[in-house]
Amino acid sequence: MADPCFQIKGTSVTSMVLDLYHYQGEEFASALHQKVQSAPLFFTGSPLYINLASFNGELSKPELQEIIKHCQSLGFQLFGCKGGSEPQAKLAKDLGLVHLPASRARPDKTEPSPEPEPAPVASPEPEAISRPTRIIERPVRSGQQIYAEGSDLILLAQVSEGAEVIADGNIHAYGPLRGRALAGVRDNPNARIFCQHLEAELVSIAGHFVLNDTLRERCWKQPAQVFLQDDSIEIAAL
Amino acid sequence: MAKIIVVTSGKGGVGKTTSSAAISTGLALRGHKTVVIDFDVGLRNLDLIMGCERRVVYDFVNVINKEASLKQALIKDKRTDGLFILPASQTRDKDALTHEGVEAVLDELAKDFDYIICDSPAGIEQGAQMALYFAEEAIVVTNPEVSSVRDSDRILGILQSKSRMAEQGKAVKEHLLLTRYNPTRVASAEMLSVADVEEILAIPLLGVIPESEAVLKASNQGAPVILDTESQAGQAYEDAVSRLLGDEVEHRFLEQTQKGFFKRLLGGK
Repeated sequence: MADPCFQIKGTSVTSMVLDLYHYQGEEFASALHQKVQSAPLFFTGSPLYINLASFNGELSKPELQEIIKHCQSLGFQLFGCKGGSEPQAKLAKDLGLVHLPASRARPDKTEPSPEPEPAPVASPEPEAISRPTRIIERPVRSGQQIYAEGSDLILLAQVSEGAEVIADGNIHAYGPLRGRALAGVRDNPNARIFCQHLEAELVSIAGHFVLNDTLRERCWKQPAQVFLQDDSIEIAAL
Repeated sequence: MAKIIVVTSGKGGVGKTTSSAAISTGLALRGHKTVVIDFDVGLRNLDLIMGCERRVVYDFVNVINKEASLKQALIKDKRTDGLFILPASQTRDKDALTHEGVEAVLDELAKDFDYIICDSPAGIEQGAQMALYFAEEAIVVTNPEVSSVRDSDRILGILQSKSRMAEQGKAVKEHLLLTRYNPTRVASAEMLSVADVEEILAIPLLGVIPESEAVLKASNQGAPVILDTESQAGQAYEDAVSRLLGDEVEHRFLEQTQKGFFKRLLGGK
């Protein structure tokens, strides 16, 4: 029984999309730079493709080359173009990009495209994505990590010491919360942690965190909620 | 079809092999045909505890590599009817165990036996994962101290994510076996209590084995401690086997033994 050396499976990859409306070299470069400056860690290394569905006119070869250069220098991993005319598709391919066929419906200019995409698309604003809440019924044991991407996380059993539960949204823990809990990890300051039995090693909201020794002073082993107020972590009884 | 039970812990030295020997002996004593497999390739100990080290000719790895048949490698226990031991190899390492090889051996054993007890090595690496992969039930051996409890918690996570049952979307049945329990030291807060450990791990309690000189004596004599029916440890393992078979038995040896009136009067210790 030899192990097969590969397996081909269907998958969906989370990526960012840049909806391009019009292009002027300098304006594009500075706007993109500003966007990245607002949350450098969030964008670094992110897979990205350019959506040309709402683009007025045609991109020339030097223009597309410039875009590629700007994106790469800011740390994006630009991998493709979506939509646009036939010549645009050919141009993208010539420059080593993947070309994705356009979605059927024409996306609204101001909103991320609402129709089903071939790949789920993470928009830069975490609030804009909504996925079904992730529900974990079994205990989360030491060494395990659970991440609810783009959604809330509900934990029905305990979270052991040495375990880590992470959500882009809120975390609700109905069993004892003894491990580390990180809510709103994609810079969502409105996320909260709700728990029935607070015994955590660490709680964090949008990158701000407090450790066990601080937690022991407030609501220890009690029902509590954790939230962010004026950039500092607050713990309140439930 | 045999029931495959892994005896595991994460941490070393907590009593996995002692428990494997005692429980498999206990099952065989009650008429269930049982085989106990030593998965600790390279550090084999089970044969010593079972007192059959001089009778090891072929081992588990030989069977996997088809250098010997299962019949040649299985050692029949001299004390207990219906009990067989499949020893580990002392000269190989844990990479000698392959999924296909282990599965083939377990499938063949399953035809003849009621219970297959897998004595896991310490750690969470390949050897330990191999021992637990095929298990339907797990006995998690834990000492009443924080590092052992933490490691048990870790191994429970691995059981429910990396075992065959987990891959099929089913849960491995979990049992907590608390060993080296010393009620006197619990009373003086040097040790975690049964309740503390149960609260942290939140799995059903199979048994509490009191710390006992009988365990060391039994290991050195190569006779599973369950055969020492006078000892508290032996009796506690008896109870654990009953619970494993589905009986409801009250837990014993959880409290400090009170000195008797006469003993106190005579200044006995």
